[in-house]
Amino acid sequence: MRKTLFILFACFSFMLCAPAQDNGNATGITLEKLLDNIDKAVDPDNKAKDIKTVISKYDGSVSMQDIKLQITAMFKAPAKSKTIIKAGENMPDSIELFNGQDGWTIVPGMGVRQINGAQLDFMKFTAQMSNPANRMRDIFPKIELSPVLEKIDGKDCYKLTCQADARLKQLPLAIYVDIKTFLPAKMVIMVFTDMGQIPGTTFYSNYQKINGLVIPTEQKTTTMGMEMATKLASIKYNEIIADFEFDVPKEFNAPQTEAPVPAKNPVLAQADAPPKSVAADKLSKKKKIANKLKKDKAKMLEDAAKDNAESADNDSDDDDSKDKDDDNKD
Amino acid sequence: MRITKLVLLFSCLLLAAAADAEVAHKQDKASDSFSRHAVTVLDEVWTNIRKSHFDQDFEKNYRERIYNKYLPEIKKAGNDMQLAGILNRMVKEFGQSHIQVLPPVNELEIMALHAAEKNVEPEPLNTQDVPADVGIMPCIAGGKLCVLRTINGSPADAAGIRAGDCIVSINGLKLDTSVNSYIPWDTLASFLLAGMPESKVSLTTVNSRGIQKEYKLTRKPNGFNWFKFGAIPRTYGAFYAEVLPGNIGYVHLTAFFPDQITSFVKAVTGKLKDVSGLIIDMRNNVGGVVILPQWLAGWSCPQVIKMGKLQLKEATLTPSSYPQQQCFKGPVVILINEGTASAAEIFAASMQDSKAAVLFGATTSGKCLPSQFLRLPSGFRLQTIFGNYERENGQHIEHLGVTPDVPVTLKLSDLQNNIDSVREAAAKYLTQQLAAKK
Repeated sequence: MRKTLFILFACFSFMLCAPAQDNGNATGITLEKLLDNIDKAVDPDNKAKDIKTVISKYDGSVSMQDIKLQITAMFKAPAKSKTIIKAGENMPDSIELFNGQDGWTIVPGMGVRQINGAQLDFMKFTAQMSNPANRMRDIFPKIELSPVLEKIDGKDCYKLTCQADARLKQLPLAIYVDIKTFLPAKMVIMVFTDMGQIPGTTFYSNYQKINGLVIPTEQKTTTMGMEMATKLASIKYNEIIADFEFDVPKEFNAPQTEAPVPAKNPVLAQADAPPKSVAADKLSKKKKIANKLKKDKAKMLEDAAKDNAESADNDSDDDDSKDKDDDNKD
Repeated sequence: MRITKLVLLFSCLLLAAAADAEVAHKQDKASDSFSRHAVTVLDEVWTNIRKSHFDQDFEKNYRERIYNKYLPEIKKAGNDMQLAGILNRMVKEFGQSHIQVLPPVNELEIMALHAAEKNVEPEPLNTQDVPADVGIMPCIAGGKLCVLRTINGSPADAAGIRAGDCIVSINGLKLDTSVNSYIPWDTLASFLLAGMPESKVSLTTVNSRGIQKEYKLTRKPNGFNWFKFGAIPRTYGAFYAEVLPGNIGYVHLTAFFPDQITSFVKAVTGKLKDVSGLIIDMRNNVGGVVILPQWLAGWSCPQVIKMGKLQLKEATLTPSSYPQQQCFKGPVVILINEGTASAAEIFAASMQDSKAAVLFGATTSGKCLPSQFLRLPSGFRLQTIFGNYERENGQHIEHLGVTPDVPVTLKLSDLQNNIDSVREAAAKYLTQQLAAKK
């Protein structure tokens, strides 16, 4: 669950805004104007639209737990992402992949897990958020400006409540924007993990202009009583990243995608049917068709092999009889 | 003259009194200073337990009953070790496992002190990169601390130590299980037997004929790595695998650290690839990283295993296993005992609740709450819980443990005849089931 929060560090650095819904308020600014100002604050040179890939690296730590983190986040437009998290010396890396359609978690030495359901929706959502070219309107069909200012770290902030596309089934998130700099200072979000939803709060600070974009280089996330702090170590735009980086590497065995094998324990035989495999649940129609085609092809090959074998046997029988005939002749 | 003498005497008395007063003042000052430090540590401990504890009425339920009760005693603590002792008595009153306070000294010393409740001279912490031991897997059988198994080719094996030999003492520390049944003697023995590669450990045993033997063994690297993660005290777990007669695979994991899971994966996809049934020995497994049971279950059976609920302050999490294509697909038996704890209990309970395994052995320790280690500003470390755990069948494991489907007692007499009665029963069961299936 920690890893999903780490990913947020990489994603929400690029939040850009565009005009959205204006409810009218007493903050002295219209939503339209506020979003314009935010837009200019984070992308003053209008360069975000030209960014196709991002590779960012972060160093971090978990407060009071002596845990050091190294996070590498890769993004390729329009919506491919890869995050590698190294937490301490003795824990294996955790690699999270999203190829624009499917997502996986890989833990070397332990296995592969295909991501599905609400967590996959969340992945799609964070991939959208990771795209520097995306405006808030692209991501949030509904944005509301709170009529009152809120103090964040002693600074007055506007509060925006943002609702993602209904198809992504995300809960609204809150973004707090500094009234002086128009840069996001805080975000409150519900994170979807394979174990369920976890609320998380991230504070952004130390904004710097890097290659034209103004991004927070320090972030603090609190969740479940833990506090994680990260600092941007490096960021590169428009480096060439091959598509295969976002798919499960061949050296890892693909996750189980077949229907669950009935458990063989005798006690199981008497019990209720085993629960349906998550892997089976997430099998898309497309994949089922592909699997069927694959099976059909395999069957055809098998049949063909059988036919070959049979004809070879027949040939061999013929040869034998021929030999026998020859023997008889001798 | 008399007056002068009297004045002198008076002066001397006054000086002595002044000197005494000065010493007393210095002591008071030191004691005041430590008292303030002790209260600071108490507050650090209290605040951090409260911060992550799942009880929403934490202050109301515990402040008066626990904090206020121990405050006067804590103010009188003389040093960090004493303070840790009082704090640990205090946190025990929560009645929950996985809450402990470690003073800023090495963990072996703490473990020995906690467990033996007496002063010992522990070895300095291993500064090598790899842990070493003598190749003994200890256990409790017939109420006695004894050898469950020696690893082939290990120093203990070479010295002739055999299963069923009772461990009397390690490095002069008498390990008398009759003193306190609460102490995890087998875990303590594992800790004391471990140390730096090439260092010596003295061991006294009594064999089945009542003959006492003393050994001076040299510790060898055991093939595992230290598990060093954040503020968690450095530790390691062991892994053992073999194929038993009847084509039954057997694995023994003593902890839930990454090394054990990757070793299990290698065994299931290699050495044990073609076995018909599998025994997963979780006896004396102390637990470890809370997410690892999900991976182990994913390699132990092809079905998705729902692994209960982690009830946290801000959310309820519902972990489940990640079935792997090359996982073991035959029948599974899990061995448990009083030393099976924490993540190992979650694994065993979840496999039992999903009917993916049959449990043999004895009821587990019932120490099963998710926890984290924090390094406090004072240098003390605090292990504190951040949630409650409920198994898939709705029951708690904390205090109750996981009950085996088939209770089997590990008998010392059997062990002395090289028979691990729990493992034998499991193997027999699997063999019968596999035969019936044919």
